Amino acid sequence: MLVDAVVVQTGDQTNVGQPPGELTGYYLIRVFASPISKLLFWQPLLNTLVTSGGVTVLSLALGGALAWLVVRTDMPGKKWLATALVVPYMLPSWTFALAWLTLFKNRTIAGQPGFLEALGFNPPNWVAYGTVPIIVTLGIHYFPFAFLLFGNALRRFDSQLEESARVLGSRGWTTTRRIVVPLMLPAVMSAVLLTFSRMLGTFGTPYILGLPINYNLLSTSLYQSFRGGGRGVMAALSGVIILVGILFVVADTWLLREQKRFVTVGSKGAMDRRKRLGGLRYPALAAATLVFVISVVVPIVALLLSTLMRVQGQFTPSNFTFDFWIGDKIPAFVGYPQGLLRGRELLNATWNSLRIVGLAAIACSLLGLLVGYVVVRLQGSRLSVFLRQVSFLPYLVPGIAFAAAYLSLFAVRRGPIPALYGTMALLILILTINYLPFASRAGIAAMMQLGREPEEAAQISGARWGRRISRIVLPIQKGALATGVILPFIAGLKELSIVVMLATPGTDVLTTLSVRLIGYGYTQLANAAVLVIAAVSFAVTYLAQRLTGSSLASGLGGG
Amino acid sequence: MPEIALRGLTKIYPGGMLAVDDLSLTVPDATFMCLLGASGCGKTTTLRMIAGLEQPTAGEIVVGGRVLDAVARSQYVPAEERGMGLVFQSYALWPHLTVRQNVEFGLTQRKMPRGERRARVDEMLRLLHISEVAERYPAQLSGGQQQRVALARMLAVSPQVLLLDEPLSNLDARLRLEMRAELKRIHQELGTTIVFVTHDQLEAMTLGTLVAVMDAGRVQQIGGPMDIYRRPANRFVAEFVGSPPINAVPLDGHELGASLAAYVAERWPALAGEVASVAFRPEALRFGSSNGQAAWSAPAELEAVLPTGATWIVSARILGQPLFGLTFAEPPAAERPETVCSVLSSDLHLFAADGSRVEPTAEQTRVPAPVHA
Repeated sequence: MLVDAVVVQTGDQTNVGQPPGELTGYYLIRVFASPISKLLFWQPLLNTLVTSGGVTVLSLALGGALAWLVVRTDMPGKKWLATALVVPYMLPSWTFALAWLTLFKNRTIAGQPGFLEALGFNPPNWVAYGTVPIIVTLGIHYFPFAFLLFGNALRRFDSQLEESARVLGSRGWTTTRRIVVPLMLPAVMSAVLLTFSRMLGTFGTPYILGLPINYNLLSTSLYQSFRGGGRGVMAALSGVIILVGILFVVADTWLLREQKRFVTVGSKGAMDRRKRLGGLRYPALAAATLVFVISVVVPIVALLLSTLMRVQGQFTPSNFTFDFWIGDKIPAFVGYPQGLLRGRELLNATWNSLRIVGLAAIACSLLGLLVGYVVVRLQGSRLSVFLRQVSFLPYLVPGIAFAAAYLSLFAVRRGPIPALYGTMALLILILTINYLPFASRAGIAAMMQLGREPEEAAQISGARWGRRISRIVLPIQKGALATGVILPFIAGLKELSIVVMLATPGTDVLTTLSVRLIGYGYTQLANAAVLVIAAVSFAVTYLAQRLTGSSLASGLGGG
Repeated sequence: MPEIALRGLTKIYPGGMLAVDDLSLTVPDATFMCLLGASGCGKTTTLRMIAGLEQPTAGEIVVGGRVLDAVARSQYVPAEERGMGLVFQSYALWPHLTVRQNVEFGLTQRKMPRGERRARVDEMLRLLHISEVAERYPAQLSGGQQQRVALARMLAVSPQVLLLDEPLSNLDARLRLEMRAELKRIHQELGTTIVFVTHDQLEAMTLGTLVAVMDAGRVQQIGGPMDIYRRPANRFVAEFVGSPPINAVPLDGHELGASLAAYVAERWPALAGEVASVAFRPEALRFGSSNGQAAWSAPAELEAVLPTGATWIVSARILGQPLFGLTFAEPPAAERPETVCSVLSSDLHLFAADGSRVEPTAEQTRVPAPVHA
């Protein structure tokens, strides 16, 4: 793909002044050092770094504080909050962006007014669009990462390590500074890495909240070059996103080179001491509940209300309607002239989503377990080491850059592989590859726990490899297998940055449908579509947790 | 070196679990005290209360005349001000610090000058034979070395009281034996008062100058190790201490019980109504013809002989019941499976229905009882 950045693309001959296929610096110059490069690259890069940093700080602060409250204090309602505070992650990330627009939209963009505007306030641009709302909305989407990672680390933290320090005369703050903080560092770094790399590739939110004031991140800039047909520019931008990702991982490994050594050391935690909050117990509960309300209840209620109103923000009985869900015909909505639940589009998109994502998830889970099997059985071999390291790849390649790469790879026929662009197969293939690393990590962990003995016992009883796999390994690992299907499935349902590049009208999925509706400016329908995605995602997660007894937390497994 | 006094110590965990129940115990100065009991008997909770990591629900802890806990007067000295040493079963070494830094930590807390600190750490590393791994991290050490580091870390601050929570149970058999000898050496060298928690009765017997056997949050018996072995205060202690375990026989329900009951009635007629069960150590069970002394005897059938090297464990069926014997000479074995066994009357432990020991006085004993063949 990177070759595209330095080779003249079809259609650009006149601009470049060279025939297609020849080597050129045109795209690189255009991106990095031309009059428009500020607009195309430097400003988006700056914006990306600012928002990524902001989101990382916000979500770590929120997630860290909440994890401490839930794990290490005697706050009431902890059990409920432990589940409730993960819900924001189950919603598609741009749910919050749409909810934000529904509430704070102003006259900068045409279309229906926001709630606040309708109530007579006019939010300034910096509240309605750009840096601040992107940081806030993504911060409340991503804080569950930090919450889960910190929570797990705190739960696993052997309280005897603290007690040893206390017995030796070290007081509260010294113990925290010299013992607890250094040992929590790996979890902090994992959370930073996970959040930051997600931010590099995130698309939906900056698209919704940035576009109205031409505020671009690298991802949206990439998307616009893609829409404008600028393949060379797209390649250059993907390269930069990947490079930033790599730099970040390298920095992370460098910072952790000392700490990694002790991550594996662990022992059973003793009866853990919980901090007594005393009179602050209920204020703490109120604060934690407030985070839940702001991050889950407010956006969903705002979106739901908006889908029931003809004119946004006008709270009169005659203004409420179910037309946008079940109406036969909605006047003036040309692109999608009926209620969301009527007509075939939603049904098609749902079916496509379930089919594509489902197949990818199953493939992913099986391959992941196989990778785990190979890694564990061939421990110490080069293949094992290689596969283990490849499982870090998702950090290196954010989804949108990944999709761009595959787009240029498979858009035309290559050898025996036909042109895949616009086919379902391409979507399944790329989703599988994108989530495979996560599935591999889960697979490695599961196989590590199983060990070799059960299989060796079967071998001694005379079972051949195929039989051992089908009769021993797979049945024992069916729980891990189910978790391995469900996690990519949920992630895939909400996936936007990849599918927005690859889906065509023939392979419309739920997420692309909702982006299309946003594009038309049909607020109510777009919001309704996002609610449908949220409902499906939530239902699947809930079912999965009930059926397998696993939790999202264990699936993230230290990220 | 201080004496530790626990008075009426009680701990009820939130949720109502009674872990320690009105426990009173005095650990004399410079004693090596072993708290022995099965898991869940409250021994670790007791240790953690002494360390100040748990607050008692009721009772007092006084160490060397200083009141550390007095629930009635709401007195509580936090762990960091007690100046004790505590070694956990998992060692709880700080994985991000080197061996030297681990050992140095407590000295830094006490604001010891740098040069002095270094000398003290070196001394400790030498004492525990870990000088050569000083710059390594805990993950790079073997289990035995980690154990020594944990001990060095606590000994460095010269604690008046050293608390050990099953510190040897993660070691292999040989290392465990070595460390036991080492602990005894350190105890003799430093004269520290040590409280050692273990579920391993052999460990308690070999290490302790005093052993306290605990069950259900209470102390069942305190005494020297041989005292506890020879004169268990109740049936629980008798059955808990000793390996292979003591043979305990209730005096009803089967032929063996009836035979022992008859013997007890004959020898101690005054106690016949009181005694509900009888127990004897495997080594008290003798096979072959009885030697004419006052003894209970019965026909025995040898089922299996398990040589351990120095001794033989004999699994026998006596009047229908399976019992264990332990001999120091090779038993008659398979060619003569039918034999006679006997137990000296002085080797019989008598227990009442509530499990407490019944000690016959000289007047209650009728001598000599006729010998059954």
